[in-house]
Amino acid sequence: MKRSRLLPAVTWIYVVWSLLPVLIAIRFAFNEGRSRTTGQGFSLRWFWTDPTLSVRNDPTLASALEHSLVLAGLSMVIAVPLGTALALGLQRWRGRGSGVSNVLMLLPLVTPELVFAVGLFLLFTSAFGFIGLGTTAQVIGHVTFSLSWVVLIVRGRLVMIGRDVEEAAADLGAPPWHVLRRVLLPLLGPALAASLLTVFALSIDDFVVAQYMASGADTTTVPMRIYASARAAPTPALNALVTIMLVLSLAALALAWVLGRGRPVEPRA
Amino acid sequence: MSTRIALRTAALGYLGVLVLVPLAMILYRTFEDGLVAFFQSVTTPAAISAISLSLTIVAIVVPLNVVFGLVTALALARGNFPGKGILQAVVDLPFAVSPVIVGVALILFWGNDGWLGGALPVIFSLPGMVLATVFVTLPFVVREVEPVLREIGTEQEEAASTLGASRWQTFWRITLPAIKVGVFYGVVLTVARSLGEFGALTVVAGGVAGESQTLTLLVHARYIDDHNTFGAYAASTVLMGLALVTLVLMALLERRREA
Amino acid sequence: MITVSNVSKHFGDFTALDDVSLEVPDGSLTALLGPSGSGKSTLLRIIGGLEWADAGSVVIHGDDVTNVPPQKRGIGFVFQHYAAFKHMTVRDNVGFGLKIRKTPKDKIDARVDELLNIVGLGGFAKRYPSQLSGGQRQRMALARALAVEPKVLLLDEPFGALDAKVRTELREWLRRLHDEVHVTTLLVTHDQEEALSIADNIAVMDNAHIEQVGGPRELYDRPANPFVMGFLGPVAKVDGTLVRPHDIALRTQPDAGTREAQVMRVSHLGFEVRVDLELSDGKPVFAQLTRYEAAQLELAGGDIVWLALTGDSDARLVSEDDRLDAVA
Repeated sequence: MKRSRLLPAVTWIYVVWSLLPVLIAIRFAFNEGRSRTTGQGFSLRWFWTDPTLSVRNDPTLASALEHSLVLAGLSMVIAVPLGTALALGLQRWRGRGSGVSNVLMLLPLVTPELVFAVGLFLLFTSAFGFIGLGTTAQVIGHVTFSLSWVVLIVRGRLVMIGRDVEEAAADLGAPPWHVLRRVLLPLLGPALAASLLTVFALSIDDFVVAQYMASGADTTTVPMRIYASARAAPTPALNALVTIMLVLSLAALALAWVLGRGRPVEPRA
Repeated sequence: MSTRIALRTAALGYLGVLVLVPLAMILYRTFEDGLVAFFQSVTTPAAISAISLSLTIVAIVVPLNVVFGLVTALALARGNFPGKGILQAVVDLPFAVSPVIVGVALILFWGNDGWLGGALPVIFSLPGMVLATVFVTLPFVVREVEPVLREIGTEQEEAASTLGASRWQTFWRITLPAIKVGVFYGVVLTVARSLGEFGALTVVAGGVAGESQTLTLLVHARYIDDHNTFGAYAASTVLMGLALVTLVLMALLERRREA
Repeated sequence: MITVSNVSKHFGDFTALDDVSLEVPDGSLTALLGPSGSGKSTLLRIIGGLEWADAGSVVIHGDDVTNVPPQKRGIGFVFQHYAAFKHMTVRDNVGFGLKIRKTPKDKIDARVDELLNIVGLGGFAKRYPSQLSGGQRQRMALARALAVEPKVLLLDEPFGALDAKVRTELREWLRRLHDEVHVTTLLVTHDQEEALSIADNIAVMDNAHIEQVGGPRELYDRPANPFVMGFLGPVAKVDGTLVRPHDIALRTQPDAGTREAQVMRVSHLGFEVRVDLELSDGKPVFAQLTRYEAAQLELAGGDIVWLALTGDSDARLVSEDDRLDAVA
C-alpha cells in the first residue's frame, strides 16, 4: 500500500509546535548576553561562570537546586522500599480488601495534585501539627504520591517474573526472608532502578506539593524558584535553571525507561 | 506468608494515613456545616465561572488531542519514516517536564517580552491556558491507542481495501471501532489531567476571579489569597468528585479492555 | 487469466521475488506451492495489490493493474488468520463490500443470505466472529470475498491456522465450491498434499523463483529438478539416481540390474510398509511397499535383498551431488 507522507508530516508539525517554547527557553539558557529573547552568542555564563548571577554563584538559585536534590534523594530512599513492600504485599492477594487496597493505591494517581496538597496542608497544620510544615512535610508529600508509581513499576515486573521462581526457592528450603533477599530482589533489579529514577524525576519536577508544604526561604525548591521569578524580570539564569531541570528529568526518565525494559526473565514454560 | 501480610499492612497503613485522612478531612470540613453551605460556596459567580472555564478548556483540549493523538499513533504504529524513533521518544517528553516549566516556556515564547514580542494575545488568556493544557496531556491518547493499533495488526484493514473500501472508509469503519476503547481511555486520562492542571496555569493564566480562573486556580486563590478555607475545601470537593468519576470510568474501561 | 511478467520485489537486502513470470489459466484452481520464504505469499499479495512490485507487470483479464490499488482490481482475498471484522456481525462482514458499493439494503440482504447458504453458515447471520470456530470464520471470509463477485479469488494459506481434520474437510469443500462457482482461484500453500489433491495447476516456488509449473501428475511424475521432486513427494537415492520409494522393488534373488542391500528395519504404517535398507556402500535408503507386497516377501531385519528400479524411467532424476539424500 502506498506510503502516505501526510501522516508523519502532520505529526511532526504538531509535536514540534508543542515543544517549540521549551526549545526556545533552552536556547536562551546558553545566551552570551542578558537578553532572553534576542540571540546574543553562546556561552555557559548563566550556568557556571557569571560571578553573581549564574546558577552556581547566585545563592538563591544554588540553594534551591540543593534543596530540590535533597528532597529527591530522601524521597527515593523512602518511597522505593515502601512501594516495593506494598507491591509484594499486594501481589496475588485475592482475599477481602484487595480491591480496596488497589483503589487506595491508585487514588494518588487520579486525585488532582492541588487537592492532595490542600489536604496535606490541612493535615500538617492540625492533626499532624507536631510535624508541621517544612522539609519533613515536603518529603512525606513527595513519597506519598510517588508510592503509587513505584507499585505500578514493581508490580509489572513481578508479573513478568511469575511465582515459579519463588516457589522453587521455597521448595528448596529457603526461609521467606531469604527468598526475598537472595531471589526476588535481584530479579527485581531493573524495576527497582527504574523506580528510583522515576521517583527522582517526579520529586524534582513537583511544584504544588512542595509549595504547600514549604515553610520559608530554605525550603524553596527549583520549581518554586522558577515560579517566583517567572513574572519578574529574570536573567537567562532562569533559563539555565530550567535547562538543568529538564536535563535531569529527561535523563532520569530515559534511563528508567531503558532499565524498565531490561532483560526479561525467561518466559514461563 | 506473614512477612507479606506485615509488608502489606505497613505500606497500606502509610497510604491510609497520608492519602485517605487528608481527603477525608477536606470532605469533613466541607460538609460540617451542611449541604446548603457547600452548595452556596460552589455556586458563587466566581465558582461557576471557574467551573465553566475548566470545562471549556477540556472541551477544546480533548478534540485537539484526540485528532492529533490518532494521527500520531497511526504514524508510529503503521508508518515507516525517518525520525520515527525520535518521534516515539519525543511524544513522551511532556511527562519529563515540570508543569511550571511549561508555563515559563510559554511566557518566554508568547509573552510581551517574549520571543514573538507579544504579537498574539496568548498569555493571560484562554489560548495560553489551552496551549499549556494541550502540552501536558499530549501523550495520553497516543500512548493508549498505539499499542492497540499494533496489536490488531493490518490484516483487517487490508481485507477492507480488497473489498473496495477507500483509506478513509477503512479508517472510519474498521480501524476506529477496533481502537475505540483505547481512545476512550486516553480521553478519560486527558480530561482528568486537564481538570487537575495547576502548575502551568498558575504561570500563564491571569487568575482574575470570574474571568481567567479555572477550578484549580480558584481553590488556590481562595485558600492562600482570600483565606477562605471553607470555600477552598468546597471547591476541592468538586475536584475530588470529578476525580472519583474518572476513577470509575477508568475501572469500567479497564474491564472492557480485558474482555 | 492472470499474467505476471518479470516481477521482482526486494525488502531491503532480502530478495523476495526475482524476475518471476507466471500465467494463471482462466477458471482454474492454481496453487502456489513452496516452503516458507520462497516468495509465494509476496507474489500473491502483489497480484492482489497489497504490495507493489519493484519491477515487472501484472495483468488481470486483460487490464494492466500493476499500478492500480487493491480496491479497484476486482479481486477477492482470503487471509490465513481470517481478518474477520470483529466488531461486526457475520451478516455485516459478508455484506461489507456491497455496502461500500452503496448497494441497496434489500439486495445486500438477499445476496448475503444466498452466500451464507452456499458456505453452510445459514443460521449464523447474527453471530459475531468470536462466536465462530476457525473453520466457520474462514468460510465466512470466503463468503465475504465472493460477495462482490470478484474476477479472481486469492487465498493466502487459508487453512494454515486450522487443525488437521478441519483443514482436510475445508479444502475438499473449497474444491467443490470452485467447481460450482468457477472463479479463477489462486491458492498459496506449503502443504504439497493440499496442492496435489485440489489444484488443477501447480506452480512450485523456491527462493524467489518459480521452479516448475504444471498439473499435479506432471509435477509428481516428471519433476524438473531435485527440489521439485523432493517437495512433492518422498525421494530415495540409489547410486546417484533419485527415484520414488514406491518405484523400488525388492527381490529375494539377484537379477540383472539389481543392487544388493540389507534390511535394517520394517515398519508397518497401515496401508503401506516402509523398509529401511542399507546399501553395500553403507548409504541408507528406504522403499515403500504395499501390505500385499510386503506380506509376499516376508522380510525381517538382517535379510539381504536386491533392489530393482521399476516404474516410469522418466520419473527419475540423476543427482549430481549429495544435496538430496533419502528424504522421507
